[in-house]
Amino acid sequence: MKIVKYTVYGALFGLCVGLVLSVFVGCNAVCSCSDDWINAFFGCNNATYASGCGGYISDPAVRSCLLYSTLICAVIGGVYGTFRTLQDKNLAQKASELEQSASAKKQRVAWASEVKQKALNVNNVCSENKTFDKPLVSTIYKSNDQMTEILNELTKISEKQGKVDFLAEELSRKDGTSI
Amino acid sequence: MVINLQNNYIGGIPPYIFWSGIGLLCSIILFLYLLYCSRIHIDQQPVIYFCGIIGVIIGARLFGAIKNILLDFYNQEPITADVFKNAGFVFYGGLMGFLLCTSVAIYLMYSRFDIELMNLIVITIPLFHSFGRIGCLFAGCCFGVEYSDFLSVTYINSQEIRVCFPTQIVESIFEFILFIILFNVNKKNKGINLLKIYLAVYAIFRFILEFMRGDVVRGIFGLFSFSQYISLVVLAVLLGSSIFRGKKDIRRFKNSNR
Repeated sequence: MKIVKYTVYGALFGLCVGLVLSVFVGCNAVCSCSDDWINAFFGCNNATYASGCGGYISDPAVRSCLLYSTLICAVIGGVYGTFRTLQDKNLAQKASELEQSASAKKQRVAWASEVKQKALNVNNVCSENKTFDKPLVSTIYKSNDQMTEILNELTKISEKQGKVDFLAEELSRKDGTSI
Repeated sequence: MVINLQNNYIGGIPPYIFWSGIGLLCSIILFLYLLYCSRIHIDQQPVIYFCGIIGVIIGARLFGAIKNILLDFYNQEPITADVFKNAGFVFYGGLMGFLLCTSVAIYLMYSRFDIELMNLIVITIPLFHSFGRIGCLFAGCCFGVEYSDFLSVTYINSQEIRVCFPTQIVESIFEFILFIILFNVNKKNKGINLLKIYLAVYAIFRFILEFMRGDVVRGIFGLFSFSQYISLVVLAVLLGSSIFRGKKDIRRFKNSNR
């Protein structure tokens, strides 16, 4: 549409330019231009306004000038419209690519923050659970209790040994028979 | 090459207008293409170019009138209002008018002088001029000195037959080559000032080519023609500005090292 619009504008502009140019070209049609050309339309060398206009319009050079100027400016308008359309299209494409990359970046940032938040939540849960977890096997070596137990057992042995020794002595004294 | 000046209209259009129109079409299309390829938006730029075209017409005509005034003064003839009526078109006047109007338009639009945009405009000038010179060839103006060897041009009209050196063809080819050079320089180096390069190269070329021109109506004052004097002025201004800029850079360098 822009191409057509600017071609039409160009053609109209060319028509105006052609009218201006053709006045200079057309003055040859009405007078010898020995007088000021504008007088040709008001009568020079006994010409009348009507004959001046008639001469102007009927001159093929004037018509060619109008057509040529209109055509040239229409082509310029069409080319301008084409380049303008192409440039606007490129700008729109770049703007949409920029927008897409901006929204994609925004989406990536949102996802990244979600993942980060989830990772933080997992970390918090794990840290919390760690404090309440009891190990299946105690990692602390209860040396005091175990040593006490051992000593108690050892004490029991010497007690038992004493009992055995007493019994043996008893036995050896009772019958007067030494074993 | 033989050109009949009595019957040289192309499709009913005078040859100078026809070829200038083709040149204008090509240069504007080139300008739009260069805008499309650069970072500059195409929106308001044709307005700058059209301001320049108005400057061309006014400047060329004005310089033609100035040339007539100087010629009358030089020949000790009375200066009348006919100097404007009979004024031809001088290329240098058109060029100055174009550059002035485009510079003012750029400044009004951007509040600064955009060198990148100006470079794109400068590239189109030799292309337009190349076609314009073909128009001169077929219109029979800006012809060369009497010459009948290789590539000579024979003009036939009701009064005479003239065999000339093809100054228009030489200039047209030179302008086209200059356009290609400026186009490639701009492609490789965006920061360079193409206007200075164009003015310097064209001034030197025009100064030399003017010695091969045979149309006395262009205005000859003593040793040189009107355009040769303008070429010398242009070269002097460019040289002066380069020396001034060089001194300014040296002074700035010395101040920064203190």
